Amino acid sequence: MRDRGRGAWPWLLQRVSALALLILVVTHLWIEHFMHLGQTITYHGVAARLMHAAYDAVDYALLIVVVYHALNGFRSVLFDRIAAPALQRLTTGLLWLVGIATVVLGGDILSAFLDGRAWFYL
Amino acid sequence: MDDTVQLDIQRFNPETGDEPYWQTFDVPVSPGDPVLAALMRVREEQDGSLAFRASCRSGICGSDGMVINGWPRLACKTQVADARDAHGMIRIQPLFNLACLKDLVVDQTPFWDKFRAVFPWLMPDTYEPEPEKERRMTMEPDDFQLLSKASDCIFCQICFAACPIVGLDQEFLGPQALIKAYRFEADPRDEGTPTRAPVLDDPEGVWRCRTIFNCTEACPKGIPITRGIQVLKRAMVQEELRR
Amino acid sequence: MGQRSYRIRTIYRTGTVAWLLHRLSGLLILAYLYFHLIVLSSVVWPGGPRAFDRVVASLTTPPFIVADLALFAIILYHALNGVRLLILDLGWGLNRQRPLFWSAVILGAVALFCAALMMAPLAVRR
Repeated sequence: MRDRGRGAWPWLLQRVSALALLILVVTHLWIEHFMHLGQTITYHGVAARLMHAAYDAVDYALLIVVVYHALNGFRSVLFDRIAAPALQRLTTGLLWLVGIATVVLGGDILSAFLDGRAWFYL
Repeated sequence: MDDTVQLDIQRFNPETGDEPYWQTFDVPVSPGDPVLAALMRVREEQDGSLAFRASCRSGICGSDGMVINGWPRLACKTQVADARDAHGMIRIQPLFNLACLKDLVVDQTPFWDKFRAVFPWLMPDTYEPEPEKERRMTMEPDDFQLLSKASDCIFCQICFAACPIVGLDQEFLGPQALIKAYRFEADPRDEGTPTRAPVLDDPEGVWRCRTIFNCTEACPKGIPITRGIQVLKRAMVQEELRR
Repeated sequence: MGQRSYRIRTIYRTGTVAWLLHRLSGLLILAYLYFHLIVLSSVVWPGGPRAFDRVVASLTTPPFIVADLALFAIILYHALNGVRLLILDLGWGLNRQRPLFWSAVILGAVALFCAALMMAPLAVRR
């Protein structure tokens, strides 16, 4: 028999993260694009904008929530064709690894703007 | 007979093993004839080898589900006059998402396996003493209305054929099994939730439903299937939060 | 028993189209998310901030501004149909899924038109 609760949490969190994204994406687009529409985008301009703690809080939150929502949604697409429980668990595990790597990369990029020096360089 | 209809029927003969092919029959019809009557006339007067399921001819047995003009319907509940196009033609195919055995007859095995998987019977609490008060029908009228509709299912497999997810994912329980599970989950006499939850709260259970509504729109008994599945999803979330 | 013929079909109706578009837009946004991160990661490439400025300058040319608008349309659809799905998941509007879908489409078209008006000067000026 399959374990219980193998679907309720991903389903619920997909909806909760969707709701959060509605706010975060609108804020992100507004701050990063529409507020300075037409200006040339440069490293220094972005870094100056991210001096506001509220702005980089939005970007950190967006990074984590969007990666969860995107990969959880992708998992749901994959599961339409992957039915064996063992393969489903493997897929979930791999997507977690991809997600964590993506958040680390995103955090590294943000730190390059915020601290002037990234955690690591590629 | 004052009129003729052209039936374009998808044929398949398992003995030759050839690919399915289309065959056209010109059939005389009377006003008020359902598609099933025209099919029966073909079998009696033109081609005795035409295979299709039918029994009661009045939308109760659920045998004659087939795809008429690209949408699954009961042949006995579909009027020739409504189904024929401008050229007087009707296209008929076997139900989607099930393997074709011969002509319009499909292999129903996956459908029944999934139906059986949700424990589709009333499970009263065997340890509970006989109730002092009558426990039956202690539901809100609206909830009872939905439960009552859900028990109208005639197992015609039309929702199963209409659901694109069933076509995509062979393991998905499908709309009929889920609305049957709902019918017992919503019953106040039933205590079967712990038994059914592992099947319903599973990637191949309620969560595979993407609220596409084909099942609800196709159901010949007008059962609000999607609504029932949505209630089940919220019930499964509550089960999980309570744990 | 003879050979079987499998028939697996998708039926294109409002709900199916809404679902397929939601899936398609979701996958495109997923692809964009990684494109976006790769572009931004130029800041941690050997060239550092200067590499970033160079990459971003090449991406703010008119063809990319039109692509931005297309991306905005895709995100709008995913967001607005997502709101429709949230409403349906709360158990509301289950008899009105088609009007809900068309409301999302119309609302999205209006928002897209406004964004196009805002962005048009950028694509023309350069």
